[in-house]
Amino acid sequence: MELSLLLSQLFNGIATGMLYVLMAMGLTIIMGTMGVVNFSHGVLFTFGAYFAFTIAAKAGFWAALVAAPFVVGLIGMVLERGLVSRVYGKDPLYGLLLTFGLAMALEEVIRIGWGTTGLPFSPPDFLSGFIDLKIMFYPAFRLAVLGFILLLIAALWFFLERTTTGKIVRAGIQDSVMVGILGVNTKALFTGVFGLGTFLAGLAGVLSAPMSGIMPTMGDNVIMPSFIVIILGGIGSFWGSVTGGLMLGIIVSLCIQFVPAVAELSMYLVMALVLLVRPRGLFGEEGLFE
Amino acid sequence: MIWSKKDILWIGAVAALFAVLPLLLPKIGSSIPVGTEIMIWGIFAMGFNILLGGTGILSFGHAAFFGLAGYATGLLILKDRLPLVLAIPVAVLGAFLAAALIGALIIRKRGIYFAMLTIAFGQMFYFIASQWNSLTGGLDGLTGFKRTVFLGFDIKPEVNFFYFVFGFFLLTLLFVRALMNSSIGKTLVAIRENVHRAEFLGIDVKKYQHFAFVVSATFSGLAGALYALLLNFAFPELLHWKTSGDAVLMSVIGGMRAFFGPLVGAGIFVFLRDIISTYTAHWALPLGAIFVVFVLFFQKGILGIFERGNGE
Amino acid sequence: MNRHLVCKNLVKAFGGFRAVNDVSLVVPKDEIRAIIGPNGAGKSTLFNLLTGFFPPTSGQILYKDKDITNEPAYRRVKRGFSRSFQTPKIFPELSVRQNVYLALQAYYSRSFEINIFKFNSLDLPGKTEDLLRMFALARHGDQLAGSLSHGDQRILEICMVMALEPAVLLLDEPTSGMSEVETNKTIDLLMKTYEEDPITMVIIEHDMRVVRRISHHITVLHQGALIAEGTYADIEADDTVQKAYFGEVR
Repeated sequence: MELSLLLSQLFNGIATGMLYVLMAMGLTIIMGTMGVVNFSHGVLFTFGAYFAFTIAAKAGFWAALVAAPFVVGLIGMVLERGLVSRVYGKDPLYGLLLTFGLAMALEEVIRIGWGTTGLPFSPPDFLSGFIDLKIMFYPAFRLAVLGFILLLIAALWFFLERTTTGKIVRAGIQDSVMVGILGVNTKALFTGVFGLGTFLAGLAGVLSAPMSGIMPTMGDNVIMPSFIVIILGGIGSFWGSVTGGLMLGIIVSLCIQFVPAVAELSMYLVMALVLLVRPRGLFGEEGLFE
Repeated sequence: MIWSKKDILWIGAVAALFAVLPLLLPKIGSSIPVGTEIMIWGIFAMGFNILLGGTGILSFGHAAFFGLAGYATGLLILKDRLPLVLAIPVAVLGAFLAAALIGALIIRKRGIYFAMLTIAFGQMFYFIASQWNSLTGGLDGLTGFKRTVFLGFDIKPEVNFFYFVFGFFLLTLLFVRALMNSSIGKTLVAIRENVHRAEFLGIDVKKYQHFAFVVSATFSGLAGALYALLLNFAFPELLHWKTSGDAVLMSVIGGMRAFFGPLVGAGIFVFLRDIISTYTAHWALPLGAIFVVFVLFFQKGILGIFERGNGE
Repeated sequence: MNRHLVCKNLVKAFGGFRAVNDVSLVVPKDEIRAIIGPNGAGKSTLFNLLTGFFPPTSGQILYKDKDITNEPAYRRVKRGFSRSFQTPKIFPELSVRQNVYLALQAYYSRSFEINIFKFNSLDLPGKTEDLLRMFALARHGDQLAGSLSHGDQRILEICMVMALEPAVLLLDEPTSGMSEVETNKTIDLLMKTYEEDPITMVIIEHDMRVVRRISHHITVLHQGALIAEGTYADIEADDTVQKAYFGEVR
């Protein structure tokens, strides 16, 4: 087993894992704060990629990277105000059903808007080559994504730990009722959290586009792993999403290398195992949805 | 009497309607297989609703049993290995056993976790079907089998197969009605209405929930076997959680609390899909939108709009 | 039988907080025991342990000398336990009649598990009407249980709970939120059924008039621990009890 091969697969795992982390992060703050299981997260990821395509065609990659996630976040907030907020406080299964229906309808909107075949998307020129890391050659873009998401995680951590708004969000994840009683405008908080969560999904979509191409169904491949990540890491847990995402990314990548047929299966086995043995995951709180 | 007079009348009326469908459908520009499909989805959805509307448990994994029996049927009649009269029961038995096992494992989990576990198991089945090329044909699906003869009755022609499925359809209606009328059905409703009070009436809640899971999955299996025979084809999407979602959609739109709700939902699903797809391939959009509207504003579904809120 | 329902050194801890702290009780057969104590004393938690709603952190529960500490709730109900909750647990979207019917069905199911056909000979609908009349709920028969007034929901729950013909009845604040008239009616009913057929009863109550009227013996809990036991007169005179409720001796 060549070291360079193993290492590059490991890096792939971390890169994929990082995308899972972004998705999981968004899912987990929504689930933790409002108790909604957002099935439409995958479709919003896809929207990120498609918006990036359209924006990049007119204004280049960097404009797309900045603008597309905001557009997705905006759509998220509109969906929240108009639809999702109506199921707050009800049986969490209604949120699941609602977002499932949304995912179904929105995926079709993508097909209407951009067609059913895949679209190409290339990374910016200076990132499109390989970097010589001495032990191996590795695609520059993936390395950049890795670094970018690490910075983003740090920024998110800073936001949640050190800023007032961030602390309110964390408090909301702990106990959204209490936060309301303490005078916080929960309506605005919930919309904001949903917007932030979907922003992250859109961003993940933009970053994913150059690596795996753009397709209407690309969200399907990330939505399930993202759920598995938050179940693995624990709903509402920041470090849970990070750890879970990394772990899952690496597990899947190594499987792809050594036992490719089982790669997807292994993900679901992990989920089933965690749910049966320790449903709150690595860092989650007991009894949140039990 | 396990069926009341009203039950017999209504089931009789619906049966009569479906019995003449092969004559009506071509007249309205549709076709007989559409009617067959509605009955098959009806079997799937009505069985599924024992769990969702009857017991209050949401599963997104019932397509696993639907597809399992579908593939099993195909594999069993491939190259004339087994006659159809044996293949169908064996396939349905397979779904039953799989559900009994999986159900026993996951039924102790509640709500969202249970739903996610059902997705996990469903997807496992999906991936096995799409990867195991040598057995299942992988992503291309399983071909090479055809429905032929059942106990001497030739079911190759569309009309004959319609009435063949009609028999199972009628049995399903009668069985589900009888079940929900019985003390078992009433116990399931109690569990749905207040699981703690049910427990404190001395009801072994887990046992009944497991029962509902297995029975509903068995009907999913029956529907899957018939569907594979309708298409003479089995493919991985049959196992996907989106297919499970279709059953949920039918039950919710038609009405979870009404006996015929899931059947109405099945009919609407198939018709909308067929009608809209003559205009556009994007029928998932109006369907998804309608589903969203119902989830938000008409949780009791179409038939719920007509019924008083008086349980089942 | 002097030791009908017994618990020994029961502890229920939630993290570091001990909701029930080393409580031991002995309830003789057919005694009416009241459990009182200020809010947060752990009374409902104790009930949850006794009825199997959740398991204790440590300690033992015995029924007729048999260890039932870790038995699931439904099994205890089958042994003859029956319980009401602080907020009535009924079937809100079913009719009052269907609620009572289900309780009866559950009771008779114990003998005939899945035998659906024997049911017709039992005349459950008739028995349902009898119970509805006994608890003055007949006029509400077709109403949705969830639409009943709070007091009537409590009475419905007690009706369902009695339908199970319990050997041990546990009532959690059965008269809470009731008017004086409703309270008297409910207690009259309980006393009447007790006189006809005595059973063991454990009642959590805040209303001291009810406690004085109905209980044979009283257990006082405070902050999870048992601080006093005795007759009404004993408790009335007990300084520790006074202090627990009022913070001082009056």
